[in-house]
Amino acid sequence: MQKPARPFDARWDLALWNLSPSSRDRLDGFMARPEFDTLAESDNPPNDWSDRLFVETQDQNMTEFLDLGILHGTFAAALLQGDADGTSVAGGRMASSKAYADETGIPGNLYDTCLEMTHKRSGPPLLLAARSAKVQWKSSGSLLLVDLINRVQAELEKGPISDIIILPSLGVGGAERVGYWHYRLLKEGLGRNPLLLLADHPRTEAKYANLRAMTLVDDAEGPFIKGRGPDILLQCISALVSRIAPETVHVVQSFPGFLWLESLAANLMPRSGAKHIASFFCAHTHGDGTVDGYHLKIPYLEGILDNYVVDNRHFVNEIRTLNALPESTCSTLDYPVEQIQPIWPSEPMGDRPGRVLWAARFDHQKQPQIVPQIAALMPDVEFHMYGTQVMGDTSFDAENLPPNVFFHGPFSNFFALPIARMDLYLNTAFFEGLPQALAEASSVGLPVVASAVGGVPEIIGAKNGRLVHNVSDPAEYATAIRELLDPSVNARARAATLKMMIEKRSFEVFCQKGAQWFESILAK
Amino acid sequence: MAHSQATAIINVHREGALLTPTLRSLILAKKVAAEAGFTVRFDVVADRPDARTLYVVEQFAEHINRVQTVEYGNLTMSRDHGITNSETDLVFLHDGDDLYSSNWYTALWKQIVSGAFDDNTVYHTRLFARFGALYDVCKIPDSTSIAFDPYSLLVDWYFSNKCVFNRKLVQDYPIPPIDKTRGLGNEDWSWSADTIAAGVRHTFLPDTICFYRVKPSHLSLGAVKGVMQSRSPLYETAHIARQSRIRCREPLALLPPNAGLDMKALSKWPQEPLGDTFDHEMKVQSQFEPLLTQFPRRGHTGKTGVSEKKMYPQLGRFYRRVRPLLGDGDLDIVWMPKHLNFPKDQLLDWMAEAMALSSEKLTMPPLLVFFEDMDDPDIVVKLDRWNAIAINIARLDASGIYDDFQKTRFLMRFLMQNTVRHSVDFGSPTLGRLMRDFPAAYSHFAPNHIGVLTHRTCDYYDQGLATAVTTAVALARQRQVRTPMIPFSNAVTAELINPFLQVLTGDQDLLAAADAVNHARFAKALEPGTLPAPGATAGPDILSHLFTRARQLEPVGAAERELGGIIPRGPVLDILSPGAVVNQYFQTASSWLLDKNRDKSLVIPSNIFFRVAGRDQAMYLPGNDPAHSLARFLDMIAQNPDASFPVAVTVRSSDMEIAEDIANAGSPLDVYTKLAVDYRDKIMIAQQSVVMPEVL
Repeated sequence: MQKPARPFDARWDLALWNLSPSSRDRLDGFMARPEFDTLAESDNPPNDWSDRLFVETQDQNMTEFLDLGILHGTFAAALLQGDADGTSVAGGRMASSKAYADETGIPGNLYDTCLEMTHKRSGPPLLLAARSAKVQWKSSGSLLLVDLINRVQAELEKGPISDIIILPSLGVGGAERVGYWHYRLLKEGLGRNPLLLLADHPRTEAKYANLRAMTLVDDAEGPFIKGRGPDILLQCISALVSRIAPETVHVVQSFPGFLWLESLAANLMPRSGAKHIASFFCAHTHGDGTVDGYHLKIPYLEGILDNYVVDNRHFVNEIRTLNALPESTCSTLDYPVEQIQPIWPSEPMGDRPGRVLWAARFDHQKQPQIVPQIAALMPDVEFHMYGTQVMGDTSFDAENLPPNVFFHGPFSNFFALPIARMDLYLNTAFFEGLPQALAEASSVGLPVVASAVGGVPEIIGAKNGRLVHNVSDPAEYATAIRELLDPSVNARARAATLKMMIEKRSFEVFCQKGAQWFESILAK
Repeated sequence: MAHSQATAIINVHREGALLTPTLRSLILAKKVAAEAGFTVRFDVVADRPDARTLYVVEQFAEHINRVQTVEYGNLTMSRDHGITNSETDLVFLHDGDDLYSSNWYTALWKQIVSGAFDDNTVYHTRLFARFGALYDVCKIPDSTSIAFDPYSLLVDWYFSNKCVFNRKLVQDYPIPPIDKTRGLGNEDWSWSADTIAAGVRHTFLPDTICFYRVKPSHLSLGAVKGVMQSRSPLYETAHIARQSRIRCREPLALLPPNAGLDMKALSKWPQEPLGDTFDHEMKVQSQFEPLLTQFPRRGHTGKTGVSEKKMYPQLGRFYRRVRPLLGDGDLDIVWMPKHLNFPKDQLLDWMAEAMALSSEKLTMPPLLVFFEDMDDPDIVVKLDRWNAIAINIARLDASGIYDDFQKTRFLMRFLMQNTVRHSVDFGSPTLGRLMRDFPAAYSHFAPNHIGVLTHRTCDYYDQGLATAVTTAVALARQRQVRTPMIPFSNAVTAELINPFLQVLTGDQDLLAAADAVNHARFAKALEPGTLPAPGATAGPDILSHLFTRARQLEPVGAAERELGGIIPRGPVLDILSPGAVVNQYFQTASSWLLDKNRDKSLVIPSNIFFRVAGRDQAMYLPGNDPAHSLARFLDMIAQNPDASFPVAVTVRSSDMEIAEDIANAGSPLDVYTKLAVDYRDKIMIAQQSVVMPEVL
């Protein structure tokens, strides 16, 4: 299958290399490679990377460089070069690629210079780059703004648009899910005409194919518009919003979306008459303790935002405390699940070992390494682990696991897991907002043992599961699991879970509360 | 004990949510101090606050002793208000978006208890940790340290207003007010220069940290341009001379602070680790401001080595050498671009004489010449013939005594410490940059700016010409009076039609006078003893009259400010953005194209010049597919939000609706979006025609 070409813009990489006295030779080496001419046609980019997340774990400057399009070309060079040990990055993941880490290791003393240059950057390439005729300047190729305006007009000809929801993409993430529920709330609950704007990446999962959505850029452009920097992105969103003139614009976890809101709040962009809403999700604490998340932008957004909406009460209190936000501007919505349909165990409990499902990212946040420790305390229980590493910020040795821990690798969605074979769902995260997986597990009646962090206690209680307060204590998890593996306790928990879901998390309940919420914003 | 309590003066304006972490951080420090027996009162001075900021203040009402709402609209004045009305002599100064280590108040208390507190000293935090848009940490120096060079204050800021002192210091040495109209700001920077000159010590309290917020740079676009620190006694000839006398005469043991001004800068001394306090406070304060958790990732932990802030001893040495040559009185300045290095002497001859002739006093104050000549090895050249000091900017840059971004701030100091009588610009890119960096300060401190154009023709592509005109237009915009411009050539005068310029010409031709000088010079070389040709001495005379006239500046008219719009021209209408100028060819070509192509309605030029960060750029729009060309151009506009793009569109007189639609579109982006989308089938591009923004 022909995968879309990875966008890149080598101009800034070249500039960075050029700045470094030791890099001239390597630069010349790269420039001489025939692949450099045809890189844009490369059909072999890695399939499971998450470069922004990866770069975020390195350094904020790096993130900024990436957002401004600097690092794409560096990555491309690493892609071509392969690892020192002969493993090509294309065959692995950039998160674990030594070559990539080496390539992006911009000397510290150049950060400020580079940042300064980056901020002063104006469209045309640097002289060095201009001289290098062999480089294919992808970013001078296709046209953006006019194309976008024409697409907007075509979309408007299909029917009116009352609201815009700006999402990063329609991928598998929880944020996308929240965007999806808002779309359905507006469309089905309120009879309005929402449009989803996929601002970071044009990726759309098959299950979302029927939604009315537009990409900010076409498939070939990819995220951050080929390294042309944020200015043009902002102009694109601005042009789109001014043409559509919606009543509300709701930004959900989209980088360009938040950048646009910041620009509006700072009066760098013309304001529309729309109400502005933003969704916030729990703060992400990296392995090194760095706290991250769009909520850190709130001080620079408050001039424009009419409502801050969060999926759990714990986090809404946190952002209120951090920013002294008035209660009237902050809302919590309990998002529903697609359907509440019990899946009963395929084999009765008691005659076989208990089975615990753990399905999440193998990242620092989710604490996968505690699962083998819990398993060691309860050798009569099977632990089935699904997932893959995304951030590369923790290590998990899948080769040396206790005999009762089974590592199954990645999964595409929760319902594709062998839920009927499982007795309970285990969540061991250090921090959470309101995890989608818990809602999904609850939607089929699977009892949950979870660390009592973030918004988890809002969905898991003593009736439908067990909360673990000392999140790093394997013994406390083991005790909780043991209790829930009792067949009668397990059956009661399943019933309580389903009851709670029907009462709080059905689409009808969501629409009812969501309508009140939305109308209160319009009425302001 | 002299002091048993202090007041924290918290100045707020429109911080909104940013005030929350500040107040939470200060409340913690207050609590820690209270436990140690030291009372700190909280006085919030809210200067024209918004409702959101007042709401945040209200949330912490129980910790705040007094909220004073004032209407100064000026940070210095509202800070003064807080200091004057404080109930204690000891005052801590705070802004509404920074955080402080929890020991900040206690550290002062320890100083008091140990009897080491000095009323003639301003105490700062030991570490100054910037966060937000960038993350770095530096140590605050002690101004009496022998390796601290106060002249580094020329280009860098060492002592912020995040400090504590006895308020009598402010009575003795008032904090210089911020004055945006004069381009003056950095009141803490200015105050540190004034107080250090007067012998006040600035030092630090051990183990204390100020976390200083730097707002994201992408939100600072369009922020107020650079402001300068005020004139200060520290930089005066008299102070330099006094210091130098003391250094020469006093025995070593009696030397005052900074006697060793030529010592190695503190920043070159070995680094010391930030210390455990940094790690501890980063964790404590990150409860209030999670951005602080970024420090370890950015390479700053307790184990990281840190230096005192960078200092510029060579720059100080340079300044101390040049300043006495100029004195502190009147000064004439000439800005010479490098293309005039060859005729420099002749031009200086004329300028010096003309400036003296046009002066009522017929005096010749020192003349400061900024020129740019890499072939000249000297940085400072004494030109006794004109009582002039010439500074070679090209060599000064290459000497590395300052960082590039400090260059214009350093040069601006020469304008601020003297009274500038004339500032004559021949199109210097350095002045162009200075004008961009410090528009208000230059406008105020160089009230008699005169642009001189030695060009024979008005060449669209001549950078020297464009720079001189750009500087003059920017100045006129700043002052709202036309900037005088003296072209040598009538050909340039004829083309130089710009509402922001006051083009001055005399009865006699300057170019002819210049030619006569050249002629005389060469004739003299060939045949010694030849008398000067007629007119060879006319230049200074003509110029002096023009210089006199240049003092009667005409205001930029309201109509001229808005120049542009729909302008009828025979059977067609030109729609021009303010200041936009097209070449004559476009006018001919657009009329012709509209006449020949009845199915089309609009014409634009093919070469569109625009300006990004003071640099001219142009985009060529091929005419064979106008819609595609415009689409490309639209992306270029979108990528350069800071650039000024001109608009020039010609339509038939009968198409007034189209003309109005375009004229009312708003920003250039909106105009070109209309052209690229709504009129894409109706548009033509006139080849070899040009539109320029604002100038020429």
